[in-house]
Amino acid sequence: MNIITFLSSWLKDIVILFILISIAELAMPNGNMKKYINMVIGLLIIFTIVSPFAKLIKMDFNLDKAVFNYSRSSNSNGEPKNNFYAEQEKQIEKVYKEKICREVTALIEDNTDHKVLDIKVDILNTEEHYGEIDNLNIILGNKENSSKDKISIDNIVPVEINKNQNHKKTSEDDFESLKELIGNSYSVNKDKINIKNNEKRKDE
Amino acid sequence: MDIFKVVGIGIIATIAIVILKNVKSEFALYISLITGVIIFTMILGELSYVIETLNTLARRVNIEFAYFSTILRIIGMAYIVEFGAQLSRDAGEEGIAMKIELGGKVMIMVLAIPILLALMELIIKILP
Repeated sequence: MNIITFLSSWLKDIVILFILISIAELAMPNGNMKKYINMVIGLLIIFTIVSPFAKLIKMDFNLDKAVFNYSRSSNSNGEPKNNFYAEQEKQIEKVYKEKICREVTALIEDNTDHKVLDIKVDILNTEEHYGEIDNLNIILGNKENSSKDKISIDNIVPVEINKNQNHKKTSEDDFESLKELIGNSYSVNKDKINIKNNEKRKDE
Repeated sequence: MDIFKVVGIGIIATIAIVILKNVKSEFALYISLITGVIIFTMILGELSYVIETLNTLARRVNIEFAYFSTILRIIGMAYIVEFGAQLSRDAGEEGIAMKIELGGKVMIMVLAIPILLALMELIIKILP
């Protein structure tokens, strides 16, 4: 990664976090509870400052997954879960799934010419494999062209594409390698990943 | 304007409480409770607008902003706890107020612990 983009994204995160925190601090009650809120805010600040280093030394650390695991283990001690915990767990699961979707989208769009239209993730609920991906359904569309300007691509509604023959032939192999790529990076069985091409179906 | 309503209700309630305290002191507590609820419901709309804005702002950034909503939730819990504790204190029940605050602290800790543990894990992993 380019060092300038790395630094600028890091700085941007820190600055925006501090702006948000100063607004949140305005909304704080000023009694006894303030120090507890400050502690959680402090944790978030430490995380924001430290996490880029983890990425820098190419370490694979996912905060969502870690929080997910800890909240799971601390809440399932045999007691019946009340609404409060269930709600929190549901929210963490949602964030976790969204994160997987975002990463898979980035992975596909970086490595292929396809554009991801829709992703559905199911995760395992059994005790020992909790949080692992069970099923991954991906629907792909084609990018308009290979121009570098990504923003304009997102905005254009794909109307009609003259697909070249070569691409059509290799798209099945393409999916196999894509499945392998995703499967390797998330340690998922290849058979559990489904990829469909939306554009192709429209053509035929 | 809304601010006049809020301040007006507050002043009227204060006067009513001061007058009632000499006649029937137990009604003073009810009035302060009702005033608190009325003012809170009046600002609820504005408050939701502020929180909505914060959330949209938060979504633009890269860091894990589910945790920002955790902060907002903790602030909300702190407000409710303060409200209850203050009410108990007004009624002269210092003990109950302490217990309400204890409950709030434990609930906030429960929300904070997963983040704390994950952060510890990250830091331990980074250190060689």
